[in-house]
Amino acid sequence: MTAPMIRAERLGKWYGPVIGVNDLSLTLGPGVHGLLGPNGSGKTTFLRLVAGQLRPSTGKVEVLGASPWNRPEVLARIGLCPEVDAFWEELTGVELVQALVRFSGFDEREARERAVRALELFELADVMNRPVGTYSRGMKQRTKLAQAFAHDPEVLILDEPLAGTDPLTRTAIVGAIRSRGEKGACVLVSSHVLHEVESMTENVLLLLKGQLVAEGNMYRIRELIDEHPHRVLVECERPRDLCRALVDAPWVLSLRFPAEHELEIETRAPDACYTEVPERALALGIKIRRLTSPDASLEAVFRYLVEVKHKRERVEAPAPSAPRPEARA
Amino acid sequence: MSGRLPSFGEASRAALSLTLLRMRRGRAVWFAAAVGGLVVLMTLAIRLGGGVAPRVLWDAVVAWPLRYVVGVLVPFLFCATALSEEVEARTITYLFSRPAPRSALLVGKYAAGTAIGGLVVCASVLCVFLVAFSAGGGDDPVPWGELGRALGGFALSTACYGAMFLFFGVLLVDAPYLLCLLYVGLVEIPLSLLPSVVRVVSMSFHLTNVLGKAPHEQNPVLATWNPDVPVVASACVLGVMALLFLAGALSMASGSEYRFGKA
Repeated sequence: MTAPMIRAERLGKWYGPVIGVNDLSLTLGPGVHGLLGPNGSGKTTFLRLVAGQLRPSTGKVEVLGASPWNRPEVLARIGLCPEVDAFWEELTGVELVQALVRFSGFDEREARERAVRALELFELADVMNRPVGTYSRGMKQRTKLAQAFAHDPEVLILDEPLAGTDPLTRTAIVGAIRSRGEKGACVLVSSHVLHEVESMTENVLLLLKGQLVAEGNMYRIRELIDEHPHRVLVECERPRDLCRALVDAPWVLSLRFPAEHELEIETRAPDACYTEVPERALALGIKIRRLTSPDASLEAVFRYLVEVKHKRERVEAPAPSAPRPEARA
Repeated sequence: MSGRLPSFGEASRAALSLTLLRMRRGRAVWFAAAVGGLVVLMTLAIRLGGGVAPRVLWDAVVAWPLRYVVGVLVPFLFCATALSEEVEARTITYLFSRPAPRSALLVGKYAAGTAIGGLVVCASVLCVFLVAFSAGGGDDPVPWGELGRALGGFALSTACYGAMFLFFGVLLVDAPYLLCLLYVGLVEIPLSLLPSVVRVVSMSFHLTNVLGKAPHEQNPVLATWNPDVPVVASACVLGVMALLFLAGALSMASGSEYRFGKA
């Protein structure tokens, strides 16, 4: 069995009366792990605990077998891409990354070589001699990633790494993250967008209100999520005609008209819904202006998972020796 | 794979070179140079105006603008916000995620602030001296030995004030100027002007003593009240206080979560 690279045991962190992370236990090995949760769910707090920037209030967290808090020997093996958009904007991209790599024990020449390589990996070679203050948001995001990757850490902690990036850049970033995971690093990636994490890994951890509500394989969690009725809002011309075309679809639970040009569909099969609604509208010559989900925020889905978890705990309570499922919620 | 563990020296040098790079592009150096330049210009204007003996002019400029303005303001500019500006800008996240001991980061920043601050202060002292004695020393020869003493004294006081302001900035990261201003306004300047032994609390008294310009030479009334401290002892006080405040700042910085610890 592979030794755990990140281990949390009954980990808790409070900011005064506010709970950041509560009673969180997990073990992570090599590979990419997605940390999903709505805003305020405790993702950043957990990542800061793992990165050694916060001291646990209760329990413990270990990275590569030791606590990361104020431990340079552990921090040397960690790369952090923080969520905050903070930079020394007067420095150029290469100066910034080089300066940070020097703190990882590399001399000036090697630090520069590593900085250039990392910036090239994230397609910033053309702009690396420009001050960071002149960068777009996407470029800044990639600079943060470059400084996290540049010293080849064994553990990578990436807080919302795809924020502010365009689709092409996302492909490059996702590729770099997956590649690092395949090479044996433990990459912990946080996001509040499900499909972002799906593109990087099948291993996910779901956090809500500082607690781990589910962990395991993405597809199993997707199934759990899909048990929760989704609402899909279609903004189109002739919503009543579209309604007539959808009323017999097996995946439709209910249909209603919240506004004159809107049709709201309740379904337990959002994938089928997103595929078939445009097809049926096209067949009828109905122009769809917008197709959105009011449930796009993961919070509603996660609340549902918490309910599922509580229900299962009540049911499973009399059987303590039950085998651990592939994914648990 | 993975980064190396830097030694304390390597980490301090990395912090020093990052801080110097940022200072080169920032405005603080220009502002400090402007403050020093104004004092030099003022000396030049008085010198050109005539009527003031070179020694009197030199003594007066050292006693007030150099000692209380340039000598205090310049280390304040470079050291008081050394840590708080990183916390405020949230760039501290990058520094604290690296395997450099926090004390090494602070030592590097302090070294950069003191080096640049010391250069600005000493350059101002040198220019004032050259302007004051540009036409010779009047009836006396040009006191070159005094220049050496002044440069050494101001370099020492810059190190001392720098460490003190660094400590205050680390102690109160959210309002780094507050403690510094309170100290300068309530302790440093008032106590250095009071007669009697309370003067020894003020670092500027020790600077004055190192410069060989203790007020009893000029004021016979206060002469009897003025503590008689050997010059070497005053120099040691400046050096030891610098080390003590620096150690205090390093110790404070090592265990804090700073703003990471806020929701």
